[in-house]
Amino acid sequence: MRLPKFNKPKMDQSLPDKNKDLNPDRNLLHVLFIEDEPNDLELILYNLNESGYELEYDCVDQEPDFLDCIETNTYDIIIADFQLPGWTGLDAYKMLKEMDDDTPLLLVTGAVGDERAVDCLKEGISDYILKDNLIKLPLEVSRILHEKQLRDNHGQGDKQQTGNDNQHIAKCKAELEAVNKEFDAFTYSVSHDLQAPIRHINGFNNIVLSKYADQLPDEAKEYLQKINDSVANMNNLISGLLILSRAGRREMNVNLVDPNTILNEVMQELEPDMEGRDIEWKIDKLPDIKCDPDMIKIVITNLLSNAVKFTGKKKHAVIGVSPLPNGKPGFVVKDNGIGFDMKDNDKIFNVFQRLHQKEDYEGTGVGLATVYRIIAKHKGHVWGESQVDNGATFYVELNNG
Amino acid sequence: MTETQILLIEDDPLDMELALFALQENKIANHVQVARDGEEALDFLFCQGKYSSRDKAHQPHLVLLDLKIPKIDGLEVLRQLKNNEYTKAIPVVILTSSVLDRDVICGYKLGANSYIQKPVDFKQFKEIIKELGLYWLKFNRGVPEDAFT
Repeated sequence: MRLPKFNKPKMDQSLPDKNKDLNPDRNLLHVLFIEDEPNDLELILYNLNESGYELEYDCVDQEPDFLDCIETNTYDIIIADFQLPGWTGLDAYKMLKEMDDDTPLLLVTGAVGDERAVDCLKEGISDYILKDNLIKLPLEVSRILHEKQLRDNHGQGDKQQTGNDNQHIAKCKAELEAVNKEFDAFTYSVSHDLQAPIRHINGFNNIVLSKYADQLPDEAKEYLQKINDSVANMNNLISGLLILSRAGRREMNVNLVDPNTILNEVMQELEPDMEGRDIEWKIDKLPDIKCDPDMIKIVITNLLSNAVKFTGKKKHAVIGVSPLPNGKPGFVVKDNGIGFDMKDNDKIFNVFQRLHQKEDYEGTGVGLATVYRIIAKHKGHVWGESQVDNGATFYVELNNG
Repeated sequence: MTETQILLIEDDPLDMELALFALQENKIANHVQVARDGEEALDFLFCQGKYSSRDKAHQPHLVLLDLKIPKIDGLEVLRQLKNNEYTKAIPVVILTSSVLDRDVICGYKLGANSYIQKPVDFKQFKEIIKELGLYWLKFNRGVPEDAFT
């Protein structure tokens, strides 16, 4: 095992002097990168080289190649991007665990406060770094290698180690929360400022359409109409982002709430979407829940409007709302719509994630991300179950403690 | 002398143009005065600066106020307007893109008569302007001229 010879850095240690070589012997490091962005890879390589690491590396972005590489080679460390085409760094981590391979894996996640990073911490990945903080990468790499060596020397049950891991998780959590906050503020101001230009586009487009209607050929009018549709679409997207960012920034106002009242309100508000549809509602009485009523209303609105939307092609839609079968506070929303493939299960709560063609089902891909965030803020859980063409069921479990 | 019916306080030239178009199309106001920042708005209302020759007795019947404006902030304009004997009775409609509860609450606390979020859809915007014009300039009975002077 080749390791840089220096002491384990303290958790709160400030950034190393750029000119100081982290790795005085310039020992060779064998790395497997899981990365689909050449630019990101280049940045990572740059940061490691700058700190004195000499690298021998492979880079993959597909699952089979990854498996191939770890079966045939031995690496000191695996550095994985989180979001990959068709899979995630978390999947790679799970595969390693299954194969009983203890090569350390460092996750590099996007700078946008990925909710999913919290899941990674839960899964036991204690080593991750944000893409906009790559300057810390060499330090993290050396820390991980050092810890690996300690583990190899002292065995897995070392108590000191567990303590350090917990400390590290706490540090990561705090960092993630700070980034999330910043991201919310950023999202708010961006989405707010974006509204002005789209308001202008829509305004002048409409003026042309109404004022010069008799001078425009039909084709021109159709194109202008397409501009209008796009603007409306973008507006929905921005409104969704505004709600998402506000859900993150808002202080929670938690009370014991009767969700049945909220449910009735939401159903009334959704009436325009249900026009001309045959929808059978099966509503059971829900138990009281401890929550922020405004936020839970957003959750119920998103889940019900999804149910209405994704049953759109059913002659006879059936949408049910019922208490959780396990008796815990929360509720279940079930429909007989198009459903989704369970292999996409961990993607459905991502921002901008769409599983269906725009032509078939309208939407912005922000709704379920908002649901996820609100429920996470309540320290509850939300998950979905489905089969393609056989309806979807969403479970929301809250914490009444 | 033409009587100013509406004072439109708006800094964005495109938003201004769209608002004027909507006002004209609905034949709501013959004379709209535009102020491009908070300072100009207060100069106009208080007949000072370049408006010092204006008659204080002739105040607009409605103020449409954007909140994010240069020099003097929209809420400060509102505060001063509502604290001045000559102008306190003028109905003020906040017409803004801000959705922050903070702005809504602050607006009403300072005496705004209405708070409207600018919609992105221009058809809806025209509808709102039409309703506003009908309500505040036709149906609503304002304070008789000179009552506060």
